[in-house]
Amino acid sequence: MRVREGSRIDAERVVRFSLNGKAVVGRKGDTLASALLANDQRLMGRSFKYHRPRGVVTAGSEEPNALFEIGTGAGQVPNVRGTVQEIFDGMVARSQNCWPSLERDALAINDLMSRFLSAGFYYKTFMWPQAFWEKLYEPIIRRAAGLGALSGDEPVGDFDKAWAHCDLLIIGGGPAGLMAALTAGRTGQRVLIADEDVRLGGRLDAESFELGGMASTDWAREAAAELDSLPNVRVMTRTTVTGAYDGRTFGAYERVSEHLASPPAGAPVGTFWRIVADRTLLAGGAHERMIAFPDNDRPGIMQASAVRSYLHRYGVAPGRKVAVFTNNDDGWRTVDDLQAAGVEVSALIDTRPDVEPGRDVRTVTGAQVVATRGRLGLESLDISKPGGGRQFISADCLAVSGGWNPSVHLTCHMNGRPIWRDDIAAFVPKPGAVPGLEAIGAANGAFSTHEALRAGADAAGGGEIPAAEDAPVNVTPFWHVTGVKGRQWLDLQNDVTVKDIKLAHQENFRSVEHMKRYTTLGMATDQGKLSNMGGLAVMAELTGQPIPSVGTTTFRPPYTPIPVAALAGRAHRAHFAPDRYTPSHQLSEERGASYVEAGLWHRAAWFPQGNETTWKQSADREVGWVRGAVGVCDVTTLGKIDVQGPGARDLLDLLYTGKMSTLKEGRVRYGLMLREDGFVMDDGTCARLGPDHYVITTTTAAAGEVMAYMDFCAQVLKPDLPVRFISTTEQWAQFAVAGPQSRALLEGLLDQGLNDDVLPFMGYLPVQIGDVAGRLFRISFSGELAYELAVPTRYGDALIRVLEDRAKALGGGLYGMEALNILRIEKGFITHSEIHGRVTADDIGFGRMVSPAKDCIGKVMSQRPGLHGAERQQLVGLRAKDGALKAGAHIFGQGKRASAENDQGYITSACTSPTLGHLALAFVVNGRARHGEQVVAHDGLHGTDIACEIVDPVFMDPDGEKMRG
Amino acid sequence: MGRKCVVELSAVSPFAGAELPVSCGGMHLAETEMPVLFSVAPYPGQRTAVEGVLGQLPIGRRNGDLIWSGLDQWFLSADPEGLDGIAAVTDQSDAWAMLDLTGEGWRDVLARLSPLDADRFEAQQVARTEVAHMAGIVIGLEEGVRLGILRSFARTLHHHLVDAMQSVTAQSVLSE
Amino acid sequence: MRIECPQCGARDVREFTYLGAAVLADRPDADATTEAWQDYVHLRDNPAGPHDELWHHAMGCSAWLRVRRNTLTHEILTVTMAQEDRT
Repeated sequence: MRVREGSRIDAERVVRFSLNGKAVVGRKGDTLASALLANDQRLMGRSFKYHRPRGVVTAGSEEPNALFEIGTGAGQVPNVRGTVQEIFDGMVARSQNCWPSLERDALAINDLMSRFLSAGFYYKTFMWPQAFWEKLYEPIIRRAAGLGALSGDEPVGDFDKAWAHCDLLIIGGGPAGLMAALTAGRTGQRVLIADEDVRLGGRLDAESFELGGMASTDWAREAAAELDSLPNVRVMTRTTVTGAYDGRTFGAYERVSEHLASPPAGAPVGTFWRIVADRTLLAGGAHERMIAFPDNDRPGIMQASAVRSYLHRYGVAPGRKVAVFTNNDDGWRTVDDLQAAGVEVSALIDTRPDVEPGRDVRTVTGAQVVATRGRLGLESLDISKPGGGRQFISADCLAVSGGWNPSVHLTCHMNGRPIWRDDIAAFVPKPGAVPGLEAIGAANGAFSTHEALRAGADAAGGGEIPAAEDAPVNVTPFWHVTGVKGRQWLDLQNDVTVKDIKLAHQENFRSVEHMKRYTTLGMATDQGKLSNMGGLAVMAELTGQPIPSVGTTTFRPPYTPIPVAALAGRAHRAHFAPDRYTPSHQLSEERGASYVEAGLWHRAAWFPQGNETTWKQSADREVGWVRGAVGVCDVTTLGKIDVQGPGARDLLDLLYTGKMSTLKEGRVRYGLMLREDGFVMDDGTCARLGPDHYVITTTTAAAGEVMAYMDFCAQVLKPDLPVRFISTTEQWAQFAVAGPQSRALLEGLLDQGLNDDVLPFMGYLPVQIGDVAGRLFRISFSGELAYELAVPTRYGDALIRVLEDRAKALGGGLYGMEALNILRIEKGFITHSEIHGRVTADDIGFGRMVSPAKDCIGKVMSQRPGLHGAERQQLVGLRAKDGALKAGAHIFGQGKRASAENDQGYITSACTSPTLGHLALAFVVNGRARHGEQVVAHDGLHGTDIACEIVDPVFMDPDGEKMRG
Repeated sequence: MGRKCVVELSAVSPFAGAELPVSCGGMHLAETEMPVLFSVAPYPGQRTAVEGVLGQLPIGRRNGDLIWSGLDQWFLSADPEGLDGIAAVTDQSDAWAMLDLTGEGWRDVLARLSPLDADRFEAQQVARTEVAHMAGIVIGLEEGVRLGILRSFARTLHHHLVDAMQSVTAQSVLSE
Repeated sequence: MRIECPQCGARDVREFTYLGAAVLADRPDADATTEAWQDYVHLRDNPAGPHDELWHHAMGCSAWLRVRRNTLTHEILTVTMAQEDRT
């Protein structure tokens, strides 16, 4: 119920939303949890395994129980913490993991079967009959498992990714973080302070402290306002630092519009930040621990600090009659704050026998809670003292304080393990676990406000701090009740009890890593923030060790759950990767082309005409044009590298297997590059344009790799060589003009003769197209008389239109990648389908291209035993009469069983040629010696066996007369 | 020999088909005026000789027409003369596509496109870095930044730039 | 992880491509023994600690860098330009 003003609440602004279809009214500033508590609704969810009624336990992001689905349709988000979600008009919220309703959940029957569903039950039950597991048990268990559900629809909403840099990153805006930010900000440092909450302040908004003579919440407001006014300070609220990474880099998720009814158009749902900080202060505070006792999970049982948070921030009392159960002095404040708000406190129960809280309330020291009652919400509880009987206490809310756990998680992200401190019975961060990061305040085990302010100021350069409380917590460890029946809950989100830990211990899963995985303690979305300590403590008792000896499991980013879409940012769907478009793209669009992706490039695959409905019809026609008239194809994407300098020859001789240094001006040579282990890296051409000027080409796929490798050879291996090179792939639009009419087309366009004297096969000629200087190469990938014409890319669109017009006039036109693939297979020309990284020059029939007269990359290793001879798989052609061959099929002798022992090789490229039938290129053991042999292409994936003959890979015009003519 | 080819080829911008200029919030995005761009790479030991022709060769910065573009490499927005034998020169005028982003909010946009320290990026500063997951060049302007990527990537750069401009503009109106 | 490129300043590791151990810079002569070549191509130390390696600032200035990195802590100890540092 709402009992007073809350520092976050705007009482004038009513917000209407719905939960499970029922209308609920809250106030601006409420979270879903505070609004429900304000409406006296304590039941908020059902637990994961046993479907027990559960309520909210915390007021922060460590919440294990109050998880909801927010939104409908594609915008639905599961597992949203009700303690973090700010309500907005029209918000639709639904409880999870319950059916048909929150109040009446059919699967609550699991709770009655709890004996059979304890930790690891799936290792011991549902075993027989064996066949039932896959078909029956597992689907049922899987359906029952899980908390929230995704909509299954295409998601809506965008996420940004961004970078921020600062001198000092402060994680957490409580007293320690605020004081550090003020101190550093006032001296002009570039500060970034991030807090996961809606505003800075931390517990200053949740306690009734005085700071510097004013209410702590007011001091926090003033500090935040000063920080906002400093231009060198960046304040990021609703921003959770999610992970610590190498190189002083942190990940953070900022909630941008998750709390807005109508986000402005263009705004993202959230932003994932990478923050680079010279120095970092972890001021993330601490999480209050619970204490385990029988049925300690009823709605209404919550952290004492959460009770105070709801009172101060939201003006909400979680109950009308509140009892307090504590093992430390901090818990006593809850009595003071409740009474000051006019809420009845039914009892203060302290586990320590020799303390005197001195509060005006029924006080029982040296006592424990041993039973609770109330099915859908707490109604009463029993306490007892050792040796004494039970006392009945009426309460609809129990505020539990078990001490504080410093928020060490980020300091464990880089394999650090925290350090145990007996005096506070808690783990603190290990100094230096994250280079450049220091923990301060409660995150470092310093729990009073004064200590936090002092630590913040000192870490940022020192100076004065306002006066503040400095009370010690005085915790005496008390983890769970003994000697009573009833399940005691440790991990509320995964439904793990003290009994489960005992079971793990009994079955010898005693190391902390085994305990975690066997019981699933700490494996839920809260990463065990409220449960890890309790589990460790129980295992420590059982194994007779101190807690630090049991150890800790580690924590991993993200600190709290974030949408996976946030990590993708804008790189999703059509924009998953950058797109590269060729100079002919606009024309291709006009011609209705379909595309194939070659790396990031979109290359036209075929250009449909007339009544063509399949790619094969178009490709066959285009092949016919190239073989019979002339075709034009955009080959801009192949890598082009401009190499200059007196040392160019030496570099090329090092890179290529052949002696490029003998290449004459105006000539082009085909070349192979090897890797240093002797296998083929790439193939391409090398053209000599001038005395010390070369242009080399690579395949589309390997352009970047070759460029990087050339940089390596030049900078690392031969740094004194006078050579420079730069990519010109993008500078030149380049088009293949191929076919018997190609010369006629170009002579007409360029208005000059192009016979063999002017431009021989494998030659180069500078040309002019109007005012534009171009480059003409006579090379052929189709096997026909062919050229490649290049102009600066800005003229590419204009040029290909001219080329298409002239080709059409000669009975031809554009051709795409599908036709190109058929043409080159017919000629046995290889691509990276063949040079896939595991073939040598000799394997592809180019052993003679490795010059014996000089060194080159890969030369020595290419001569290793085992890389030559009859046991190698060598490039061959295959022809089949009945049935199309497929790349990936393996080759076997006729009548031989398809097995690894009988495997003779595999197909790398295949096509059905319009004139030559079913063809393939393949690697077959000792293939060059087996031409004429009948074999079988076995395709296990498609279930076919196709008879074929091993032949020469050049299926037509073996002497290349067409190219050279 | 023979008559000159009389075909006239017209030029097309790398951003043809993309909406430019774009105004969003207080920001403005426009195609960079860049008729000519040449790369100059002095051979080993020839830095001084090249500086004798072009002036001081900066690193990570721009001196007027001379823009650092990478290791031992500069862009010149003119066709250089007098560098025969001391430097490799190539035409890069068509290889790059560049956009100028100006107006308040440009740093927030830059922070969404590259890992650079956007708040500290100065006019005349030049960085080679990742821009929207592509290899790019970033040049500081007086009130903004010039972003360059290889020509074929132009549409992708434009798309992500506009998205980021809209995002930054939308968020600037969100209160508290 | 961040690497301080001598040309560009400290940059996130995403701008760099890792090649391997710095021994790759010591390419044997063409007439060196088979063992020397096998070692060069295939044999590597695997220290738990400082490791000399070659990185390429591929998304940056394109410099090849000689980097000493601690393989346990990922601390970058030294960075030099490969074309200047011939050690």
